[in-house]
Amino acid sequence: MNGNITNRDLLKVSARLALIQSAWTMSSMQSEGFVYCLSPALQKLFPEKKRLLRVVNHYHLPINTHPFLVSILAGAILKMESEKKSQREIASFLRNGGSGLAALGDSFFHAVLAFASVVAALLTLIWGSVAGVIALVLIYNSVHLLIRVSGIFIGFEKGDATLSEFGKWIDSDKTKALRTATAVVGGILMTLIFLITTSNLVDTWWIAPVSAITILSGFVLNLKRAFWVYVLPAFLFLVLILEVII
Amino acid sequence: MVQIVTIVAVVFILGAILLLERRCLGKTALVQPLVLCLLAGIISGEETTGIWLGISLQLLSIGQGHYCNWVYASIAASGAFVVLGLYDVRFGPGTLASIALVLVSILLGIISDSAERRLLRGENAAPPDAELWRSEQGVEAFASLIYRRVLRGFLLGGVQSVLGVALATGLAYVVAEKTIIQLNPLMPVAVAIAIPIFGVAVTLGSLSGRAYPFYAGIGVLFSMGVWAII
Repeated sequence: MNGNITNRDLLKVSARLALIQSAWTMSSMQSEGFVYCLSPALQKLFPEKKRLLRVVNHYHLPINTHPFLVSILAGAILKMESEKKSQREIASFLRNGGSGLAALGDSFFHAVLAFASVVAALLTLIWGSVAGVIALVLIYNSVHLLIRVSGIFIGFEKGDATLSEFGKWIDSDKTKALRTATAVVGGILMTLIFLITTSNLVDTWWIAPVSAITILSGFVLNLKRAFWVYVLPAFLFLVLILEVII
Repeated sequence: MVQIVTIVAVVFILGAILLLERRCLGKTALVQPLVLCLLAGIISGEETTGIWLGISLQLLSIGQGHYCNWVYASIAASGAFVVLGLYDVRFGPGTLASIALVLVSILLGIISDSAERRLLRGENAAPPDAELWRSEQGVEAFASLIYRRVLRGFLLGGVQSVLGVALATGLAYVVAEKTIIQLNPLMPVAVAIAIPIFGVAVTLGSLSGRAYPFYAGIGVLFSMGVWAII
């Protein structure tokens, strides 16, 4: 049964996984998308239509995970299906694995990788704007594409032991270390913005307090989660008016 | 007239693909604000402004991924930037026109995000695809749902992009061309520094944990030291 799924099928599933968010709803989240993505492999595993319909219902539960890490989950699930694991085992793996990967993915991809690739892109701007664009696209995409494509093969090879294997790649200690490094680089970035913008100015004493107030307000406003998203437009509007008056 | 129709068509198609990319196609770096604004800067011959606009929106988007559709904000900002560039309207980092552009694009992002939430809440109240799981069609029914949603996303995204770029272009044009004022020369510099630095601060804040500002301080001291030596 296991031999029925070829590498080509896994690649097909991996390509389809890019569309997993398309049918996202608050109740079922990614479950409809998950069935669509797995369907080429499931059709091969269960050619009989009635059996396939029963198997599809294994996924009639809220599924939510990080879209970049879902390939690992998909590979592991296909392995479990090929081993004829019970619906209960599959549902339990989906629930626990999905939420675990979602938490790991959010902190790694959104906070660390996005910021690190932006900083790298800014540093490459010395060689021109196009270099900056290429750097950002290459760094960010190469990491998540690598995980997306290889993830399904790793998942399919390891089955329900995948998560512990994957945990060795991106564990919370590594993410914490990366975050610390990112914070140091963030400080360097702040200084660079400050120094480059003021390098041609003669009278710069007033910029230091402006920057200090900005940094402080950034940290303080961020304590209230998304509060600053709504405060910023109001502040910009105020600046527009101030520029006209002063 | 032909030029306007061409601009609308290009904005519709590109905007639809980019918004679809965020929603359905897997969130690659192509929709990162820095990429879009840098490309817009290159096209309109104002690379410095493109970099400034891109860095500002990019850092803000990392600081808080929710509550504002940053992809839509960047599409509106970069689209307006290119369109106004075609009509020789110049910006510059921190100027009134560029502040107006950032302001209107963030507002559009917030409106778009909240509209999307409302739409999802509506779908949640009456799930349209409950029958899907009992369908005799099997997995084909799921495929057709995905294709319908992608098509809907494309059309909605196209309309959204045209509206967003039109609004951002209109407002930035009014501020850039119709406001006759004597600017304090220091204000654009202050704004040009403040917005990206605010972005870095909220990004570091979002890394969670009270120790991160301390590590950022180490970075500041280190780079100041290197700068002083150089």
